[in-house]
Amino acid sequence: MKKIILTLVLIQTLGQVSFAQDRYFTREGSVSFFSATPIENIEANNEKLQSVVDVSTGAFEFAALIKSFEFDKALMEEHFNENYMESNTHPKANFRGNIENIADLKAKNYPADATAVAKGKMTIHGVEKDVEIPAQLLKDADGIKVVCKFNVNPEDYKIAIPNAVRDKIAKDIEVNVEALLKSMK
Amino acid sequence: MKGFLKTLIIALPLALLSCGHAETADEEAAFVVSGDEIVQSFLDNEQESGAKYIDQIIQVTGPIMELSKENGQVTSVMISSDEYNIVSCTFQNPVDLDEISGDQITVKGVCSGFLGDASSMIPGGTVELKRSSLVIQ
Repeated sequence: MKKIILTLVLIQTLGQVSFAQDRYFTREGSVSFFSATPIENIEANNEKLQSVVDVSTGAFEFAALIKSFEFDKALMEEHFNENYMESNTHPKANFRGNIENIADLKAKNYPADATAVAKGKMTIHGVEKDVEIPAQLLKDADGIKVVCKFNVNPEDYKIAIPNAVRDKIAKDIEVNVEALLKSMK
Repeated sequence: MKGFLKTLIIALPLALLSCGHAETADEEAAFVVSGDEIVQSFLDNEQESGAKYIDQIIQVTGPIMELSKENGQVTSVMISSDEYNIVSCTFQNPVDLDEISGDQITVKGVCSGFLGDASSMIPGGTVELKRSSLVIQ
């Protein structure tokens, strides 16, 4: 009986260790967006992106608070939150999905020229959409660096842009995500 | 006079649009709390705490969990007495490392909300403060 209990405890402990070693996480990722039109460039950064990847299953998530995006101009930040993103009602944006080719990337030790394909659901402004995001996963001495660039069309997420400022905001907004995910102990 | 008014009407919105943010260091905090207290408040009732704290200047004191540096200066600090439930503060202006002493820190910043979701793989919960400034007591 003692042996059975010891074996069970050992299996459970080993399971927990491998679970933790497979997950990489950060609270200090960066997400920025850039909207370029001939009239005005709009740019904002959020250095508090949270992200986690499980390299054994490919499960991948990132999330950010809308109000943590910082603009140089105070009024622009206010308009972004109140008029477009309605961040009091929809305070968060996130992606939850799976990196489909994670096993291949892991086996090759995350080569710099390989593209990870993350498929899943992106939620912005309370609207959930199926998306496919190309990403780069790079092995770093401190963990795994994730870099992705994708476009967001405000209309897809029911973000209403008034006619008066339509020319000031690009149809597709480029979003950049960069995060160094460290092993969860 | 007409010309002056016309110029003012055009220039005022442009001037407002190009204005930066107020210095948090010069503003008074609406709430003074400990790091554990504000995180627990969001964990207990996210909606109620959001209505109370978001967009307000909050002064938070607690143990330093991690400092982030850029070019030798501190750009952000995580305050927490446990590993997963934290207050994450981004400084409005980088802070010299010499200004931070001991294990505890007091910071005031604009609360931008709480990230934490039991259905997510992302562990714990984080209260975020932006445009923070170091409070020297």
